[in-house]
Formats: sequence, structure tokens, C-alpha cells
Amino acid sequence: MPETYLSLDIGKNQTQAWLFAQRDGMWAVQAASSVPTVLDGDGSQFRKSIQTLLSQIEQSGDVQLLDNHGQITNIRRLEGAPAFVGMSLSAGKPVKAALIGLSEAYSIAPLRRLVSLFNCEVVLEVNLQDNLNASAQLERLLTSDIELYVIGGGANGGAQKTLKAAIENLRLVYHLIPRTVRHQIVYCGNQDLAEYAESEIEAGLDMHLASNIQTNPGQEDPTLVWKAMLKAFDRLRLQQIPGLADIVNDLHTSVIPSDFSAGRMVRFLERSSENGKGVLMVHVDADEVRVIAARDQKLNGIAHHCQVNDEVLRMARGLSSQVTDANSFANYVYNRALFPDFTPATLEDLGIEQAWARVRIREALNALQKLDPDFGYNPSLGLTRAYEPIILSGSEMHLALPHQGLMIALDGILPHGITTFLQDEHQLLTALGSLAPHEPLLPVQVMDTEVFTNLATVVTVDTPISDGQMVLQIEVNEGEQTPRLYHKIQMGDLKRIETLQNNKTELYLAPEDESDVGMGLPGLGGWVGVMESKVGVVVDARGRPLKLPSDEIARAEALHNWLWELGG
Amino acid sequence: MRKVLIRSGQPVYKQVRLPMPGNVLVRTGQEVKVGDVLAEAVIPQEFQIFDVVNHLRIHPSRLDQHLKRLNGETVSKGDVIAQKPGLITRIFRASQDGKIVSLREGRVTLAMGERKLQVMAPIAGIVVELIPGFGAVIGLAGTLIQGVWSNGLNASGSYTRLEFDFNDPQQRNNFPELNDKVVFSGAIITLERFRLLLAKKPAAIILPSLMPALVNQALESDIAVLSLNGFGDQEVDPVSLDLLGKMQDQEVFLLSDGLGQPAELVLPGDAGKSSALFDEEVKLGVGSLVRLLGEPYSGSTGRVVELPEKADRFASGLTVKYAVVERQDGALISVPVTNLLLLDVAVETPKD
Repeated sequence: MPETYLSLDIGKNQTQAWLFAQRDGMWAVQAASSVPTVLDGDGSQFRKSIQTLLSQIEQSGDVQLLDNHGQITNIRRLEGAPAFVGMSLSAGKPVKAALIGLSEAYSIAPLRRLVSLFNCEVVLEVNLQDNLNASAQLERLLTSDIELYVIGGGANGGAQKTLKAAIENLRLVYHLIPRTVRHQIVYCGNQDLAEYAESEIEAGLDMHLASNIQTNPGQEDPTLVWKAMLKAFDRLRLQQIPGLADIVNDLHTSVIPSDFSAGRMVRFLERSSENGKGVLMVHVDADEVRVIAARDQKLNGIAHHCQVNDEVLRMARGLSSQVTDANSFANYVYNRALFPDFTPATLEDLGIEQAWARVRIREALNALQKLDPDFGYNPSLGLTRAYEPIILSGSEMHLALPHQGLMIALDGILPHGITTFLQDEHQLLTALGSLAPHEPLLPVQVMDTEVFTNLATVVTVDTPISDGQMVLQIEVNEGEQTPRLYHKIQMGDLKRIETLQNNKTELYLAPEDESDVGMGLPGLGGWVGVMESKVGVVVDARGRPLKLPSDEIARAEALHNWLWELGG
Repeated sequence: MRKVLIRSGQPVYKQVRLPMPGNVLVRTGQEVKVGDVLAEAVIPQEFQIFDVVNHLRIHPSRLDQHLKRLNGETVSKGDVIAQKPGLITRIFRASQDGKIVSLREGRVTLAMGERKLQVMAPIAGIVVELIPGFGAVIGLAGTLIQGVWSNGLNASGSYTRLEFDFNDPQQRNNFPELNDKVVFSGAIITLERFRLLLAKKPAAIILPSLMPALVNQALESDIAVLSLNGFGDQEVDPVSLDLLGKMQDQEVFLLSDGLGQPAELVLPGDAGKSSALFDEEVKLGVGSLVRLLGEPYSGSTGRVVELPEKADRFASGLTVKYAVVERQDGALISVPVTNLLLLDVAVETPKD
């Protein structure tokens, strides 16, 4: 049997598996399947569902994953088993984390950015500069139902007193309070205290030491702590999810967070890109939006669950291409949270669904901006820094038609300049991320061929001039056999230009003096070559902030017309 | 596929567990009443940390000379823990009864008092299973109606259906007393009406569905709230309505799975004629009773008459697997399978 690699992703609703094998010397997807995720109960149903999934892969791929009785077994005993099984997980409640640091700017904020890639919810922050007395600090550490403690802070060789007191308190927390799930502790502070922390807390395998996240004053390197965080995540999830430990043991693997797994690939794309821009992934599910951004060698991410309130409902209603009364809109959104598998069957429901997704994307981007001030998002102006490609994935994108998905993303993200929108329809980025450290060639070759669907190239026109005035002229060159096409774009327009099949379409952008199309300066244009894409080239001259009519019917009509322009 | 239970004369089970390991105080087969403690964990009420070296101003190497107690020792209020003699004697005394739990780096940590974390039986029944270290499963027989959203509170009281016409101005001053009752209202409950209900201090409010404008009020209230179908203006299915009718003036229990989570309305009673040891897993199929999600049919029920393998394109343009459902009015409609809530109905006739 040929060498194969298997990747499993245990999502909130679906557990997916992908089998990769070499085809003509190149790695490619050989089989893929999915089953509903079942985490409730004693683990037997969970094991059964994974067994079903592996059986489906076995039937469609040239591999052995189960024993002769169709049961999960020690995979190393099987002939023709994959060389490695990668496993990522986003199912289950977020890990409740406490961050302990010496200052807001140099330790707490970096720790927030660190844990956000590891499916954590920060439930407590202890800033040691707040001068809490030791007893009060201990009370705070004890009050919340914390699963993961991350201690940072202090320059190597720097002051130790307050950090030592916090370490002593953690020892008490770890040993005195009985817990269903054993706490995990990650230490990434002053390295002079690392050994002290380990011997003092006496947490054995629940203690994870890492280098100082603060490499120099004001400089952080979370990559130094990733290994420790992965170990802590793995140990927590194995305790929390019944049956997972046995499966991980049988498959000889470990569990990593799905976001971290996808983040690995987003980071790789950014590093291998030569356009000097960042790479952004926006994953939109029914209940949350996950954003991962790689830029300037930094990787940050967030899983954002939008809290429903009157303000976000009002914003969302203002972005619907259907006229819906406020009560019906709110009913839909609240019921949607109860039934995440719901399919919008009517046009009105679809209008609400997609408007709600737009607002959730905006809220998630805003949350990432708060986490990482260098991200480059402004709630009214949109994504002000350059990211290319912007990769879309998740159940909402899967549910929408290509032009609808693009429209949701365009209105949610509000990009500037020129960028490419791709779709990771089968969430292969997550699958590849868990295998990348074991077979680095595999993700490179798979991504070259089949991961992404090219959705569109978007050209955004930034201009101060008013609606109806011309902002850009475009000359389209589809080859010497075809006469050149010319388009005049006016302020307020959203225009689609189809791309050539299996060929490059060339466009000459000639912006007006005050119009900026992302070529470096207002008024500066030039030739742009674009490959075939599902929607084509989309020229967005609607302005930033997006100007929408104040009248409800006119607004819905404008949104509907724009959607129609992109594909109906 | 998500489902809700609607049962009568059937076994009902309720799991009760501590959030942290402790001691289980009941045994299998034991009869428990509402409020009986099933399990408890004992943890210190508070901690006190005293920095002996800095507060008594002593040299760390001479710490042992000044400490009067050892790690692990039990202390009583007023006991001297550390002392530095001199012209002015400095003393650290235990402020409460407790135990020295740590003595390190010149710091003494006292664990004082004890706090019991207990879980109690929310309903009377028999302990049918123990969860070692955490709690137990209570079993009983009776009627159960599952709702899809609750504000996380448990309650019990006499069930009453509110027969009050909110639209009749003549009835305005005759709003019934609802003190400690579990109240069901089939009327449209606006924010004003909801506040009126809350002011009557019932034990719980059960609604067919909840207006989104009431969510914050419900979450902030100390009165249990259950929505059977979700949000909006929906009707109760006839099976549930029939069972609710049989609960009138009887003691019922609302058992919630947590804030924003489903909850169950339980009327303890006879086991009926069911002799099955284990529940058969109910799956969607032809003949299944379902509740429809999404407008314009939200909350209405029907039976699946066809479940094709193929997918169909809906008005939204999305192509998904669907079921043909015969609604109660006889109308046949196609509904995406994802927009069906399976009603797991088992209604038994009680024993004579």
C-alpha cells in the first residue's frame, strides 16, 4: 500500500477526515468523509462515530484504519496504516483560562494574544502590578472555575518577588482545591524563576515550561510558548472529552486546536507570499466567526461568539437585502442560536441569515483589532491594512452560493485596495495544519493543486468624491482575438467583470486623480492580471464607510441590486 | 438530529452532580425528597497568607525559631502562629479556626473555616445510579415535556393555566393570584404582560415561545422561565397541550439544564403500562411526528409522509435534503430536514 497520512478534525457539529496519498509523485486528497460530532455520554457513542468515519475512509481509500472486526485498534499494528494521523479539535466549550502577568502591556496583552489561538476563554486576569495582597490574589485565583493558568511577565533576570508570590499561590490552588479536570499551568515568564515555578508548584505533567514570551522589552514571541500550550490543551481535552484519550492512544497522535492547525497554514502562506501583504482567514459558522490573520511574521486569531443585543440586531437588519420587520428579524436570530443546523429556506430567511453573518464578521474583526492593535481594522472604514489572499470557509460560506458568500465577506470585511478572495470549501487548511510538522511537503503540494476555490479579485476604490461621479475607467484585455472592453465606474457602483476560463484576464485600471485603487497613490493605476474565478473581478466603488440609503426599502433594494450585480 | 421529549407514564431520569469531586451521600435505591443533599464537597471558606519574614522583620535563616506551628497543624482562633520577642513583641495569631496549609518562603498560609458545596435533589424519586465522587441519577415515573430554552432556574409548584384575557379591559383588575405557582400562558406575552406576570411572584412561567424582547428580563429574573418552542409567536403542539391540561392544580417540577439551555417540566406520577427496559432510539423516518422550524410554519407540527434521498431546491436557492410533512390541517409541505425538530412522543395510559 502507498504511504498515506490521515487528518481528523473534530468540529462542533461535524467530525471530518481526509486521507492524503501520493498521486504521480505529488500529495493529493485520496478520500474525505464526515460524520456528526457526538461528545455527550460516556464516550462509547463518540468512539462509534469515529469508527464509522474511519470505516468510510477505509472504503474509499487504499488504507487500513480498523482491525478485521471493524474496530478501532492500535493503528501501529495494522499493515497499510497511515504513516501519521493528525487530529485537531474545536468541539467542546472553550478552555477557561486565567492570565497572570506583571503588566498589562508587556505580559497580559501578549498572553491574551497567545491563548486566543488555543480555543480559550479568558475568565480571569491577574495583573501583579495591581498590588493585590497575597490573600486577595489567592481568593481571585480560587473563585473562578479555571482550567488553564498561564503565567508570564518579567524580563529574564528581572524582579522576582511578586512573581514568586503568584507562583506560591498557584501551588495552593493546584493542590488544595479538588477538580474534576486537573488544572494545566503554562509558565512563560522570567526564566530565572522557571525551575523555581516547576519545583514549587509540583504539578508534574500538568506543568508546562516555555521560554519567556517577552523576548525583549516591548517585544513578544508567542511561538516560543506554542509547544507548551499545545501540551496543556492536549491534556485538558483528553480529560474533558470521554473516549478521546483512548482514541488518541490508539491512533498514536495528540490533539491540537483547529484554529491553531489552520493558523499554521495561514502563517505558511504569509511567509511564502512575496506580495508583502498579510493573509487573512475568515471562518463563518452558525454560532461563531473565527478570524486568523498572519502579517509581518505575526499570527493572531480569535474565535468570536457574537452576543445578541438590540444594537447588533439593528446593524444586521440594516444590512439585509430583504425588508423584514424588527420582531421577525430578532425571532430568526434568537431561534438560529438554538438550532445551528437550520437552513434558510425562504428568501426572507436567507436575507436575515446573510445580514447576520455580515455583522458577525464585523464584530469578530473588531474583536481581533482589540486583541492586536496592529491588525488594521476600523469598524466603519473596514480592513484598512492589506491582506491577500482573504480565505473564506465555514458552514455559512458553504451554505451560500459563491456570489452570496463573496457579498457577505465583502460587506463584512470592507477591504481596501486590490485583493483576492479564496474559499476553502472543505476546510483543508485545518486538515493540513495538523500534518504539516510530520510531512512538510504534503501541505505545500496539496495547496498548490486543490485546496482553494478562487472566488474573486476585488478592486476597491477609495475616493472622497460624491455619488454618481466617475472614479475609475477599466480596460479589459481578453486576448488579441477579442476586442477590448471598456468600463466606466461611478462612485456608488459595484461592478462585476467576468474572467476568462482557464486563462489570465488583464485589466488596466485608470483611476481618477482622487481615486485610490491600492496601487500606492491616489490617481495611480496600471495593469492587473487575474486568473479565472467563480465570480470574476469585482470593482467596489461603494465607498468606505459603506453608504446605504437611510430608507429601509431603498436600502434593501440597494443591497439586493448589488447582490444581483454579482450573480443574482 | 435534535429532538424533544414529550412523555407520559414513562420513566424520567435527572442527573445531579457536583462541579468538583466530593462525597456522595446517598445510595442506590434510596428514596430522596426535594432538597435532600445528594453529594457535597468541603472546601476552605477563606485563606489568609501571612509574610512572617517581612511582617515580623526577621532574618529568613532564623525563621524556624519564630514559628510556633508546623505545616499541616490545625489551629484555633487566637493561636499564636509566629512570634518575635523583644521590647515590643510582634505576634501573628490565627484569626479563625483553621489549618496551616503552606509554610514556604517565609510565608504562612492558613485555610480557615469550611464551605460546603452541596447538590440537592430538585425532584423526589429513587436514586437509580451513583456517579462516584460527584452525585447521582434520580429516577421517577411521570409526565415530561421538554422545552428548548430556559433561564437556568429550577422551580416547583402547583401548575395552573392562566385563563386571563389580556385584551379585555374589564378583566384588568381581576388578574389572578399566582404566588408560588407554575404558570402556563398561551397568550401573546408582551414585555408589559411579562412584567405583570413577574409581579405576581409565581414559581415559574411556562410559555409556548418567548418574545426576544423578554430575554433580558427572563435572564435577570429570579423566577424560572421556560420556553417550549423557542422564540417568537408560536403555538404549543396538541400532544403537549393535552399533557399540560392534565397537570392542572398538580405539583410539577421545572428542571433546567442551565442558563439558555433546555429544561423539562415534570409531573411525577404512575409508570403507565410501558414495560420496556430501555428506550429505543427515535430516529427521523416516515411517520415521525415533527415540529417545524422557520417561518411561515414555525412551531406547527405534522407527520413525515415522505423522506426522499435526493435534495431539492428551495425558494432561497439552496439545495438541501428535505422531508414531505403533512401538517395537522392536511397540507403537504416540503421542509429541509435540518428544519425539523423530532418530537419523541411516548404517551402511555396510566395504570388503573
